[in-house]
Amino acid sequence: MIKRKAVLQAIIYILVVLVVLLFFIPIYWIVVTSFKTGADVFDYRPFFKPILDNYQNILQEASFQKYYLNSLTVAVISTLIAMGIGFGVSYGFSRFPIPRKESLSFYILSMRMIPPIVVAIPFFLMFRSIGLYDSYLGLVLIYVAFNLPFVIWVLRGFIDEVPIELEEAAKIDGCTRMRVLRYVTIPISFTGIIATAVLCFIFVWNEFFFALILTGVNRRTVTVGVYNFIGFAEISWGQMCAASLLVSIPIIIFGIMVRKNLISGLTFGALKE
Amino acid sequence: MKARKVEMYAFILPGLIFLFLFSLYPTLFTWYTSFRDFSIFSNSFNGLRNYIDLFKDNVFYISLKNTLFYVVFAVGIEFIIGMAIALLFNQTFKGKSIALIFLMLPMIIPPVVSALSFLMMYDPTLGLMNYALKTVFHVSGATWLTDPKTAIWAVVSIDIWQWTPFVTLVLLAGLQYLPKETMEAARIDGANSIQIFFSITLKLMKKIIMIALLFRTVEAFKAFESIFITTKGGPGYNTRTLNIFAYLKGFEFMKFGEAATLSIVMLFVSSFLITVLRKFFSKEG
Repeated sequence: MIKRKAVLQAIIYILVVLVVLLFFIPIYWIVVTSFKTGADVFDYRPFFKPILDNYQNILQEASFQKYYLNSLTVAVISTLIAMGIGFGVSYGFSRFPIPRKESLSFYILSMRMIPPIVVAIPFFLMFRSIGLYDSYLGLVLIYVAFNLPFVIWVLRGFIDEVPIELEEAAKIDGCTRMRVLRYVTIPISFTGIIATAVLCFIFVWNEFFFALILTGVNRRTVTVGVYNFIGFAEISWGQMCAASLLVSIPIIIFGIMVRKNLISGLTFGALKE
Repeated sequence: MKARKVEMYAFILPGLIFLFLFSLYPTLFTWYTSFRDFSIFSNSFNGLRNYIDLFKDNVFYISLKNTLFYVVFAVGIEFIIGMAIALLFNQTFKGKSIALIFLMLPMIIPPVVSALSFLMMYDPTLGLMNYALKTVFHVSGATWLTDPKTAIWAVVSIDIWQWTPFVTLVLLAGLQYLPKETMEAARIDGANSIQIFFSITLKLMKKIIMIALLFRTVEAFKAFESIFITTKGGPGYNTRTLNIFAYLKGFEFMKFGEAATLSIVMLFVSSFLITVLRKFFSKEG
């Protein structure tokens, strides 16, 4: 019996390692290639002299720095705004008897699920005519709209978990609504709020479609910047991989941070872990 | 009571007005544009012309077929592999949380990066794919992205790599809630693992499975990066999905009216999928 268990455990381990390897190969390949010279990129010998040239080159590239900064700016600002406005809506939905609440809130969610192309043409034309094309403001507005439904849904789940009795007790003690929010609701749901904000940041940082159609050379975000590597006649794979990795690292760190909330976040709270 | 109402609106109105301006209004504008002959050269009302032209256009049906292919095979294979991995990860073993972090990576890194890494691996002369085939199996590879026979599978594979982990994690969350007693009882009654899986596990997980499948279907329907970066819909029309077709119409050929019409058709399909999803989306989850 013990022997059978050991064999079973060994099989499980082998399978797990195989699965993990299979899903890790493309990422591993990016990492390895980013340390290779142009000549070594397609040399498959496992040992090579790792070089940092690709990173040095890409980090000195003015356009890459600019795109990176653009992504950071847009992601941080739009996340903060979406969280601010979204908190109000989700608190309202959680605590007030809003008419036709569930239909309305599902309608809000469906705004996030429809294909972006449905709203892309109006935004493109509008932004061109009122000067928001290739601007921070335009991108921030788009990404606030993009993330609001998500924030409203996910935050509402966290606010629902704050016992309403606690809020009422604070109110009886003479707290105004704002003070109740500040000293009761927000502190209790704080980890949820942070997780939601981090997920918003990830969504904006990873976003490609709107950034592609609504920006030019000035406010291009870094995902579009990385994509532009393949626009040239000869692709510098090494540099592209170094850039890809630099773009992915903050997201990997954030992703690991919020891994407990990742699935409930990506399913808009349909699943609670 | 009145003060409470004012308070309620103060909380929800800013967000709702913002959403109205940035979602509902553009959608209405797309409706309006879909009835117009609108490009760089012209902008005039032309009734149902765009719709009639679209439904007569052979490329529309090819794109529809490709979209269907993409969605069915990507989501179907993600479900089968995802379930297998979920069952594996439902066993107890040391280092599970580390393994889960690795498994999570494909779905959190930017989709652009995933598509680019596959673009590199698919490279016909120098890519990893053909190299592996040649050294391990001694067969010559293919020009994955430019061969009409393989192109659609090549882009579907990117989706599978990227999103199988999502399906796995959703199903794994479901597996953990299954009542252990029911399983034990069935085992004592002499049912083997396969019987238990098909007659108990699948039945009890029906709702979660539907959530996973529908979320993936909604997303796969609008897949963009995996195709745009690798093939841009080619070779010929081989990987042109509705989404790519609409993008090309609107932003490559600047035919805004036609692109809007196609977008509206997509809006209908996607609204239908979302309505189905809603049924499985109760708060009790």
